[in-house]
Amino acid sequence: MKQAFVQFIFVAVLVAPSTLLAEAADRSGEPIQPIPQTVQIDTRKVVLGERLFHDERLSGDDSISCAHCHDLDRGGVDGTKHSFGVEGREGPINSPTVYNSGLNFVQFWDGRAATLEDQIEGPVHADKEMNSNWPQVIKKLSADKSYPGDFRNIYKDGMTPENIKNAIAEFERSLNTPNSRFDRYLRGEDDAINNDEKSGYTLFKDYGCAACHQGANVGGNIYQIFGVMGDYFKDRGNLTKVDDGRYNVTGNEEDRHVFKVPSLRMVTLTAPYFHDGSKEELEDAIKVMAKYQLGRKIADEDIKMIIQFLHTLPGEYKGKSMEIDR
Amino acid sequence: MRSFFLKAALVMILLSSALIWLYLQSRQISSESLFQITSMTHEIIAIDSSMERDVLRLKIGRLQHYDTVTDSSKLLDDIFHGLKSNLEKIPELQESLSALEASITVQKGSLDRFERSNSLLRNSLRFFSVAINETVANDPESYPFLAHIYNDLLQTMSTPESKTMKHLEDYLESLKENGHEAIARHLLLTIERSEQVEESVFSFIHGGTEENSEALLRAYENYYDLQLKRSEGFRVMLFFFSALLVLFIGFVGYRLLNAASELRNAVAELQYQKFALDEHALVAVTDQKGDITYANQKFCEISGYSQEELLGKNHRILKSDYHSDAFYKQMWRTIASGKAWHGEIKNRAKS
Repeated sequence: MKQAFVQFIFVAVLVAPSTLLAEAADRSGEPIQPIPQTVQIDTRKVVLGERLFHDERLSGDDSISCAHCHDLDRGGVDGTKHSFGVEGREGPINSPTVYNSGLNFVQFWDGRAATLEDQIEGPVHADKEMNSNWPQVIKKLSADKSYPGDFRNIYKDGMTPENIKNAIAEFERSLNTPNSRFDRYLRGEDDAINNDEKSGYTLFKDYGCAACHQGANVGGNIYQIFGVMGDYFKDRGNLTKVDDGRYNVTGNEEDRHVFKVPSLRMVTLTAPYFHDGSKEELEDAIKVMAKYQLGRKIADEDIKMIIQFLHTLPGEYKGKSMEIDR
Repeated sequence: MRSFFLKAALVMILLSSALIWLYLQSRQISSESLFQITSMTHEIIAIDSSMERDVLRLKIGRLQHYDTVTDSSKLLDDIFHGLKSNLEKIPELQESLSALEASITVQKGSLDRFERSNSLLRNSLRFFSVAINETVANDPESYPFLAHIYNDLLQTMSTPESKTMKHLEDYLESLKENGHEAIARHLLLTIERSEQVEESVFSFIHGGTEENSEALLRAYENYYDLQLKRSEGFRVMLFFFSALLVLFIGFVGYRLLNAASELRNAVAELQYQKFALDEHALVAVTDQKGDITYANQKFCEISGYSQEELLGKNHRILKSDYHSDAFYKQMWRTIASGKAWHGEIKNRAKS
């Protein structure tokens, strides 16, 4: 009778699987892996979560939605150095992209949230972000006639903080971008990327970028200290609390300036760069990485090649390529 | 008689509750839970060993991304939490459970240290040959010196008996003096990180997840056996108490039959006595208010009323003026107090 109580799990096929060539080159040993083409999600939750993701009532003064800082039309970020919350308050850190965030092993730059669900607690409560709380959010969303019913159709206990978080997180898990040109190359389509892009990838590996930026999300699966070969923070100056990174979570001295290695999947769309948003241009960001992480100089023409390669990483969302025209 | 049945009912209620309690205690711990716990611990052990394999492959560069260990680590966490919520209520297992949890936490820390240092180490090792080639291209004279260091480095790293790489630090000063700053930095980093890699791989592999999983499983199996024995004991008790209940019901039934025949005899005796009484006396029974509830045939004949007319009427209608008020008062006091009154009284007939 109560169909609403039955949980349907749909396997949403994000995009039709690409055809493997008969004699495809085996690239399964590469440091970068293709993004899985399917993901196990409940499509009803995704639909509900998408509405919540764009709902400003999640913020204290009805001005900010999740999409405010994670604009799906701008690579899943806001394009500003630091993000701005309610009443234009400037936050302490640069917004990472929401695309492929389900592939990250932990959430936030310092990894303080284990799941996407936990992550949502942060922005909802932070005074420089949404500056709200769950009783307030539930009260406002209950005034909307459609929400309570929609929740009851999916969740036995209706609209609760846990279920709001779960729906939004489920939507975020649907934001994977598979089938990039580079993924097609990894799956064996030799001509999915051109020779410059292939050289860029080789340089990316040779210079050691791929030591940390690897896996399906080209990062997002390990922590690393920022400033291996030099003191980045001393050179930059103006230390803030967020610069301590994972130290703020664990309190261990060895975790000072340690951050989650960010994903490079959408890097060509998500300037400015680093947790401090200090570099506007990808070239400059790569130079900083070369100096402080790799301890070597990368020639300008090599940087250009690497950027060519990075452009092949964004995949498709809702069947549309996210790659930007150049 | 009445108190006997009250006591019997009480005993039966007590016995039945004891039976219910014994039944609940004697229910066997399900073999399904043993199967579930066994497969969960085995799964943890399997994931742990696949992670160890991946860590070793990462260390030698045969695996170049951390996705598989990350996924395994999450899966292991999930299974452990399932296991924990299954066993949380069993006090005997808490010690082994927290030992396993501690080793999983330690392993996660080791994995994190390994990932950080291994990625840097592999980067520096990769850089070495490039850096030496680049330097030698500008300064061919430096080749023998750099090649010597590089050989020493490779040899140290590939021979397991050299526990420390500290002696390589001797090269740092001369490298810096000769202007090979970058190579010196990478050499130092290689020394430091490879020690960290060795340490973290060792502590990951010897983290004790496997041993503690096995210990937990053994503890659970002991607990399971104990529960089985215990429930067997309770089943014996259950049988004993059921027999007791059956015997008791038989006894009560016997008493009930006896009581019924006693009752029949008493009623017959009463009938007989009533007959005798009715033959020789006027008998009228009234309640405390003086309303007549019974009158025998003789009473009806003498008074001239029929039985139907007398029932429910007050005894007052029969009152004659022969006796004094004090006499009646005394008689009614006796009746009102619920006692039987007997004596001779002159009453008025209907006519």
